[in-house]
Amino acid sequence: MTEATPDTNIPAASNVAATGGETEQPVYADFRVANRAVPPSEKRKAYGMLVAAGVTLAVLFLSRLIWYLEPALDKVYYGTLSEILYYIIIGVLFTAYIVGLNICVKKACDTRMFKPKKPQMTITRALGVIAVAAVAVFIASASFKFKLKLQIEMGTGVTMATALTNIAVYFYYAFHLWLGLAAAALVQRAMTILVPAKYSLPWGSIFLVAVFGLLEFVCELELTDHLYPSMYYLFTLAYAAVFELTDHSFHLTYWTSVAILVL
Amino acid sequence: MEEQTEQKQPFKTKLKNFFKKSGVTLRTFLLTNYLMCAYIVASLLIELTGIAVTAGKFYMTEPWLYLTLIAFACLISQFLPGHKSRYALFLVALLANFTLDLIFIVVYDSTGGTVFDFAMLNLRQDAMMIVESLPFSFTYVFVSALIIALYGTIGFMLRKRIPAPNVANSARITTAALTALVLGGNFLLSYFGNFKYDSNDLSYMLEQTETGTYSNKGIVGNFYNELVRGLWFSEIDVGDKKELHDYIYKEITDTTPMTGKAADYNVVTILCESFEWFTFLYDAQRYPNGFARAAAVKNDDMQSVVNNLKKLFPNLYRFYDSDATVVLDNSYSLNKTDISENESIIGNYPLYEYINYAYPENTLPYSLPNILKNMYGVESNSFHDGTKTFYNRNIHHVKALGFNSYTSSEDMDMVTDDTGLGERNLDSMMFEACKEDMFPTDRRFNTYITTITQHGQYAYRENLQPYYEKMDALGILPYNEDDDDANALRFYCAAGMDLDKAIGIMLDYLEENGLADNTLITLFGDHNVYYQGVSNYVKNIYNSDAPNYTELYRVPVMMKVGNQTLGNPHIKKFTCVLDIYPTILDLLGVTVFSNLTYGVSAFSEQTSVLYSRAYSKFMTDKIYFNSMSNIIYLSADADEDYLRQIKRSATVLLDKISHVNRIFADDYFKGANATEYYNLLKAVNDAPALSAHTAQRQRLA
Repeated sequence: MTEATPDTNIPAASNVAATGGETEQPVYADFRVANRAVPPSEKRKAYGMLVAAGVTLAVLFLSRLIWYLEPALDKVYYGTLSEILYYIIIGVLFTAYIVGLNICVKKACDTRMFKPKKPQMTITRALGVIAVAAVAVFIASASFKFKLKLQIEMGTGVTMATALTNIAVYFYYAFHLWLGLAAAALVQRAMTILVPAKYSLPWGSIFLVAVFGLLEFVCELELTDHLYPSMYYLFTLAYAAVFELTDHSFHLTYWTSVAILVL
Repeated sequence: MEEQTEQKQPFKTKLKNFFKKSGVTLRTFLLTNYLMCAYIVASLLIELTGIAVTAGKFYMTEPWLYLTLIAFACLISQFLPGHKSRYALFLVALLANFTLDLIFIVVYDSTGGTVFDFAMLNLRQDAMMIVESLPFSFTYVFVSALIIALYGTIGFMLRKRIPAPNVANSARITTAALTALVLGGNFLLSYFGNFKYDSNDLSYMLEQTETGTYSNKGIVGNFYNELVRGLWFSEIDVGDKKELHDYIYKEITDTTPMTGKAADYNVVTILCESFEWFTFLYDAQRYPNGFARAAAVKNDDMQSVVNNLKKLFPNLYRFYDSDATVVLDNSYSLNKTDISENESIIGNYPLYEYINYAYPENTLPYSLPNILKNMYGVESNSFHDGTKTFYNRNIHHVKALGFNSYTSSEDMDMVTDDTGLGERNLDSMMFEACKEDMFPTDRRFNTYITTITQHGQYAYRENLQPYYEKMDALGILPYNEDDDDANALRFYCAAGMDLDKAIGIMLDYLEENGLADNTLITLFGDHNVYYQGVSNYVKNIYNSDAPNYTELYRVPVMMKVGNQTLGNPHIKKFTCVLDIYPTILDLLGVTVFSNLTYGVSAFSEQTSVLYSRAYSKFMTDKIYFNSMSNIIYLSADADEDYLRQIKRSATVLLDKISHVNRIFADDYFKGANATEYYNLLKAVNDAPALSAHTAQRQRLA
């Protein structure tokens, strides 16, 4: 747990409401009591964020259904290109969704999702983030006899066409991670509003590991033939740790996570 | 009195007082320049890690050039107004250092240890065409990424907390002076590091301290030095043309007991890509991880494995065991394909350039095709089932080497050319499609064939599936999910089975058309299997500490002299790829001017020394060295006498190389000089008993 700090992306009024205008954070005996202290308008925004997170999760899941268009894509151009076409479609859809989500959340919840905020980082925490990333990459590489996962996934004996497909998979994962982290950040903000407390619980991280990660894992296992789904699931633990260490900073978490994901 | 005291002060105290007066102390300097100090440490660590993963050493013996580059970056930062811009500069410099190192480490790892030299820039397009996987060094990427992440994070967080930089005019003037000093030092280092190069006398190479690895100047330092050398110090002075002329015609090749054994024969030379003896031979001692290991796992006895191998490679065994075949058992190659190819066709190769690109249209009258064309009217043709423009062969083979035509995969009827899907063309298909052009029945021919199927990478290939099935049926090298090395060997040997099929097509065709009796066929491996470290794995040799290190570069050479009864001799003396050209000429009974020939006939009593253009190393079977002061490997049975003999041979070789450099740079044989060469060659061959002096007299007459 980390000490709750005012989130610059959430209107100041919500903090005032949560603390009852006091400079000290209130201590509630019960979550339900704490929740009752939150003004209804703030609750509405928080529920809006939770809905947005749920929709994001659904979009992530449903996007996999596009893969069933494979026969149609094959008609356009058979071979590895149809796979690349799939990833291009996904890329376009996800980009459109991210823009739409940003606009909707801004309107409905009065919060800007991707506005960079200055993280409350100390050098110790920054070193912690690097350590988490380094340990994750080290363990993953060690499991491949000290070869980078990137090198294994890119494959030996591949041509430029297959290499492009493999690179496209990384972009696909990067998009997934963007949406997954966005959902986690929304959950974190919503739950911090709904359950104000001296120490904020790692709602976003729990969501990242227990919902997003698990769902991804199951989908990967059942629907796609991407490599190492279990390893990618374990990576969500590292993403969650980074999310906490960066004080829920979306951008820092995202780029660190992408580095872990690729390497 | 006061003046006197001041005068008596030691220099150290004076300096201290000067800094005190100007308000600069070591502490404030370090605090103000924290970003710079951290940059120096970070870049040194990144560079040393790069050296460690390539040369195995965590130091540089000549770091000065690299240090001037670091110093230059530091001094440039002093001209910037604040820590933000300095931080950005250092981060960019670190990333540039990291990227450069990474590129050259990948090149080093994927080529079996090639250190960058300027001429390699000519090969960049070819290199991109064959890139299939990039062997990123985990250690280098991990350590460097960690260092950059730490520098980036801590630098970012502290840049606002450290005292403002000293931007006073006095500081700027000092910095400007230091910058000039560093640039001057850099210039002097570049000059004195390269001025020793003398195109007329390469003997310095035998005494140089450079190890031919990155542990001398570092990766970035070497890159910078090579750019300087390539741009300003690589000019070859043609020198005294009369001396060059006399040198070329001074000596002729000796006769041997096999001279003329294949006189008037057709010639077929097959450069077999990455071909090694362990493709088809069982040898538990030399190849502990080859067929012997797979057999041990299954408790198979040696004889049953050999019997199975004869079923998988019937044509290679047919060639190897033939009574007419001379096997060069102790032959070596330490070069890349293009160099081995040229060396087997022209018998020499200049230093510092890749001739396919640097001299693609030079006149080379002493190339085998040109000699056969001008002396006997024989037409020569070259075939390769790879890409037409690769290594610039489409121009170089015709214009410089003298082939009448060059046929590549684009010109062949290769219906399943699936290179786009990770496949290599099948040699057997090339032989099948081109056999009538390769081995014409209506005239004498000289055919050169470069194969490709055994080229790395060694991964599953759909067009080799029938061979996997044959191997599996006999239990040879089964697929092992947990052993990448063993699988690479399996895929490699399956590719070898296609070479076997190709050889079978050729042998059958020659026999069916009555050509087998008068055709000299040479089969040789251009280099070891450095892709994916297959050679290291099979031979269990990973560094020069191994007692049999040079074994790593032992490759097959087999010469089938028609259908003669020679008793399948195995030549045990040291031979190398340089000896192929003089050996073919020896068998054909052609005498040439030996100063243009680095090697000697395999049947002569002399032995050659191999100089590797690609790896900058000299070698024989007993020694592997960069210079006489840097012997990397020496066999236990090599004594002082042997070393003296090698030094003599290497000196002679370097003298030849320096002359060949001049010949190429000047395109010496262009025009009348080529005519003179042919005339003298004919004269020498018309009177084979002529001594060198007689040849000289005849030339003068």
